[in-house]
Amino acid sequence: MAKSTAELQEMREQMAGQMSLRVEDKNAIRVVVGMGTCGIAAGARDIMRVIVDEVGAHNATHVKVIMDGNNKDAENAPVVEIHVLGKDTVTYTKVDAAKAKQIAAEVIGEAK
Amino acid sequence: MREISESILDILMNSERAGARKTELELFFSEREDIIGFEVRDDGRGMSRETLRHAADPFFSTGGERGAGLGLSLLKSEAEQAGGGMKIESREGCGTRVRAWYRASSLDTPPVGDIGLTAELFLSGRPGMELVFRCRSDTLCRECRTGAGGGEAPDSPQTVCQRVREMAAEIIHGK
Ligand SMILES: Nc1ncnc2c1ncn2[C@@H]1O[C@H](COP(=O)(O)OP(=O)(O)O)[C@@H](O)[C@H]1O
Ligand SMILES: [Mg+2]
Repeated sequence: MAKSTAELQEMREQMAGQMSLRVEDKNAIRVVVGMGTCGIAAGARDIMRVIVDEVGAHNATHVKVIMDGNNKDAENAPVVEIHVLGKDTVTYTKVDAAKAKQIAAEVIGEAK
Repeated sequence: MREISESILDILMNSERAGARKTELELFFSEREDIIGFEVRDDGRGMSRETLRHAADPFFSTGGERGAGLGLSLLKSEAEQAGGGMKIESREGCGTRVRAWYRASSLDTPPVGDIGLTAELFLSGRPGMELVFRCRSDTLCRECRTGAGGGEAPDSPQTVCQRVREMAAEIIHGK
């Protein structure tokens, strides 16, 4: 069925939002940090840094840290989601630096 | 936002969502004019006149439930609060330019903060994204770039982020 320009644009935007979620390695553990406006304002950028640094320090190549520019769950920002193929998504809310380290340690342990 | 470089990340995420392949970021600081700020230029889909008219309204978003519509309005109010302002230019199908400036001496002006981190996170996982970073002061103008662009050989994202940190530090000295 033919799609209107508006529909196509909507589809494109949706795909752009999901693009960052599409990781080559299907077995990878994906740590998705909410990086919408509210996330950033609540410190999500620094949370992502903590996780990226931990993952890097442990050379955990199976853990992919990704940011998601979509705005959702603004009241609970910063939000971090753990996606593992075949498992339910785990969502952490109001993540601070200590919690971020803990999340990183967990996924690094799981990846081993 | 606590840092100008956090606002920059938010504006860069808008460019990504608009399908930009090439993004230019300029950080400027003029001691003479007491102004500090940034400009993001992208080659994304741009805005219709109607969207442009409302883009900086609080809660206006074309992103459906994925957009909160707070990014540009927040940037505008923060910049104005600090004696500056925000301007958007956009052409549908061509791209968008967002410029925000703050009075450098205003107490309401956030520190620039870790702009290297902003560049690093923005580039990570976006191999197709070309980023041009420019720093401008009263006496200096410097530039580096990454990604698949024409012209001279691009630097690796790691090199660019390092250069972004160095260049910004050189230009804003402590702001
Ligand atoms: N770089 C851009 N290119 C095209 N459109 C943009 C861009 N930045 C902002 N917009 C438009 O302005 C709207 C408001 O942006 P913003 O205030 O950041 O809210 P949000 O990102 O949550 O939608 C967006 O929904 C979009 O329609
Ligand atoms: Mg936005």
